[in-house]
Amino acid sequence: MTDHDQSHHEAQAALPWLANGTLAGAELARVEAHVHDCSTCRADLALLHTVRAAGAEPPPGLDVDRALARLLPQLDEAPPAGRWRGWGAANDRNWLKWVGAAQCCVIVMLAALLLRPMPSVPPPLSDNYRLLGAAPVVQGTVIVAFRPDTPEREVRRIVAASGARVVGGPTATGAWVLGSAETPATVAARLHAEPFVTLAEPLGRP
Amino acid sequence: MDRRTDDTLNLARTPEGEACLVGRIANGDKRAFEALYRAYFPRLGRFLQRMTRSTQLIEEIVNDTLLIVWRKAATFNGTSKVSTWVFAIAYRRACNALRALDEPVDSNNEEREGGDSDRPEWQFERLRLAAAVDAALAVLPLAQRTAFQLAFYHDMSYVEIAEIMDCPVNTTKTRLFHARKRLALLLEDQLEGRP
Repeated sequence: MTDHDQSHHEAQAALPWLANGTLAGAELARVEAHVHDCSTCRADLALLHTVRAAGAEPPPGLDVDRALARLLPQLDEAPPAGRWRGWGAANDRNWLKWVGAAQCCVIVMLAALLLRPMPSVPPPLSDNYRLLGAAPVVQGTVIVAFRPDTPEREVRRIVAASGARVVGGPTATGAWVLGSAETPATVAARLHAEPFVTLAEPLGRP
Repeated sequence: MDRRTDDTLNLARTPEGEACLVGRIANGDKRAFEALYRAYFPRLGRFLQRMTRSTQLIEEIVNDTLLIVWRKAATFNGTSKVSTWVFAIAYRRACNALRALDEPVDSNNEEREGGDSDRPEWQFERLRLAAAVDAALAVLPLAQRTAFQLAFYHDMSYVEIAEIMDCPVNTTKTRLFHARKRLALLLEDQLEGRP
């Protein structure tokens, strides 16, 4: 198809809208340029103008006042559906614009929180602040060893009675490290009183 | 008619004003409804007269259409022109009405020709041609006729027509192409000797 054939085809399809004045932009320029040079399209356009002028008569016999008078009583029987129903529509700009604005606000707020400069030195933890899973504050530790034939149940009883808990071990020599909020000396003294204990020595702070 | 009524009627003269009227109708404003009704009554009447010759049926379809506009004004979201929305409703209502009544569709050119013989020659010639155009349009398939009149008597773009008739733009262009070729043949005798 040649360029002329192509522009003729386009102009022929667009002539009705050239005649009614709704063509615009580049399409209008192309079609006008073609029609200027094409006698067939000019003749077709002239015919369309004639038909358009001939058919603009209003229909006879219609009476707007009579028809409106018939319709008015029906308006009260069927009031407009509430505006709120329209607000539910997915393509309703009324609520979409507000949701969009709120979404933007939230995004800006989160971005501001993310970009906020963090303090270079973390604040000191309070002595009273402890995580839920954290162990009680340990004053000192005690190393303890039991006779080899000590039942496991007895080991648990002795540790609990000493006011300490196991925080390490067993070591290579079979000893355990106990921690307590009490002083290591106090804990060691209680352990020494147990017949199954072969060793009980405070470590670190006295 | 007071100033407020004048202002309301003036709104119906621009697409933006029409959208404003629809917004007021959604709030139950009958004055706004009447302004829109009076603006659309002749336009819809011209549109529908190519689909049925019954004046009573035309008025009924116009009233049905504008009653839907009254009821559904809150659903108009402004993504298209008010005219596109209203004509689409009218087109659907008309198709439904004609299907329900099995209405024969043709023109009333004989009625019109009878009373015009005493008019001046130029006016008679114009009316004679109008009647010939009516008669020619009447033999076109409904879809071609509808697309033709929306383009020529309601100055709608092909995008608006496609939206009203719920079809692709290319289909609209094809319908118009075939419609005007057929009209050119049918009006050949009537247009002989005209510039």
